[in-house]
Amino acid sequence: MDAALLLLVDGRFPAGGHAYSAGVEAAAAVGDVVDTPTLERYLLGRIATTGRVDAAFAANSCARLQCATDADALAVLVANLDEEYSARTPSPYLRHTSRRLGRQLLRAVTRIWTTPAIGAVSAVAGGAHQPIALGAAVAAAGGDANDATALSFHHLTAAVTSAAVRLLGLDPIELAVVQERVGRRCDGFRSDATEWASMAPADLPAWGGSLTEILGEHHGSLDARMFVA
Amino acid sequence: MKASATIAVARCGERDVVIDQRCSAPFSVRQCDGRILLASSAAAPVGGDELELTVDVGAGALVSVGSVAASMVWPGVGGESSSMTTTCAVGDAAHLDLSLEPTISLARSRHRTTTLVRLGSDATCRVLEETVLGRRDEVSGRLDLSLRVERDGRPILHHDERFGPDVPGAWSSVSVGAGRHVVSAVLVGIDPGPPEVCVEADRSAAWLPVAADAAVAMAVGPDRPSTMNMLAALHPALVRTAPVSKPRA
Repeated sequence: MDAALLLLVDGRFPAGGHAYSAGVEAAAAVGDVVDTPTLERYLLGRIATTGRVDAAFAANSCARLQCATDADALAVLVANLDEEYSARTPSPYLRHTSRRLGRQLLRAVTRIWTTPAIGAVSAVAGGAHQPIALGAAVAAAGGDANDATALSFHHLTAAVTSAAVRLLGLDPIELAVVQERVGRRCDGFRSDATEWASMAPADLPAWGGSLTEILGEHHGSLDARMFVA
Repeated sequence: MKASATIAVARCGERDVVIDQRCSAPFSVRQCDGRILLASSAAAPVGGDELELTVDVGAGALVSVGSVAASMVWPGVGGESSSMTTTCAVGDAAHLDLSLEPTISLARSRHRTTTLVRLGSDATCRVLEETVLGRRDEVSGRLDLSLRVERDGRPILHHDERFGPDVPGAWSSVSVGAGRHVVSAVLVGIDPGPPEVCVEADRSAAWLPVAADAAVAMAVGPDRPSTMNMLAALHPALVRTAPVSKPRA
């Protein structure tokens, strides 16, 4: 892996990820995540549902946005990806958060790389959804759909485990063990990356959870919170 | 067993008329009090069954489709999966109200429910799906739900959810917690207003606007009455109202 992609892997890259717990704060608030085993259960559930959706959109954006032949085709594809991802995120607050994370990622990325795909995703009203922005960024950094999938899962497992350290005071070393174990599960999903890369956006996975949306929306209505979502 | 039911309704003058109604066992179709109701004349689905329902609502027509009883998903002898696929086309300025009685997933069953609703321009709908994860004190089988609603070919909602004891994150906050009654609804052609959420110890629900004239509702709770009451309190449009006109054969 070269230096350009390593930038995007690094949690210290200024993309705003430190303010995102991937729902752990809301899950801890209702008593569903209290210790390392319940956190691992939560993380396994997330990678099988929204984690898979995010990885698939990142892979698809990475592969397909590079292939668009002209600016019009690119704009149509970006709009299509945007509405398909929005349709998979019924919670208005979670849609808002995803666009905010996408915007923050692109703020740094547009200073480093300028490609037609980066330009097209940066033009999305309200900000591109995070996985679509990530896919365009990985492509700009020279990566492929496999890299986009791996990065997407990595950011989810890192967000969940690092948030648990801050929210619940769990042992960071134990959580690193969890992250490695769940990461191997994510590697299993990566065999789907080639298929995700070539699908029509409407056919991409749509797995989610009722409480993911309900608690995500509820979290957005709270005044006292450590993470945006 | 493979079985299908087809219902087509057209607007003729001031009336909605059922212009096509075909079904094979175990389906039968009844018209009752302005609604079109599916009845099942045998235990279905059982593992291995493939059931299909097709609803075609012509331009300007108003149709309400329901069922007479809950449908219990039984395990197949050899562990086979069953499926129920519902495909609805709703013409311009037409309205579809689709709310079948709950699907109940019994222990060791494997089932997939797929619902696709395609709305034309200015078409509206109220689609409500209820799922029960096992009877009292029963652990449900594997159940995959897929609900997609499009308007003019563009997606309004696409939500898939998987339930079952062997599913990652089962019975946690990534799924439905301890909830056994699960409801998803999509309403198009309403004033959604702001989002609304209700989170209590054993039940929660949310009203989630997804477009200027559309919203999704999701709820999980311990049983049907408490879950539906919570939903009804979130937004009045979630409660079914009498159809404006009665379809006639």
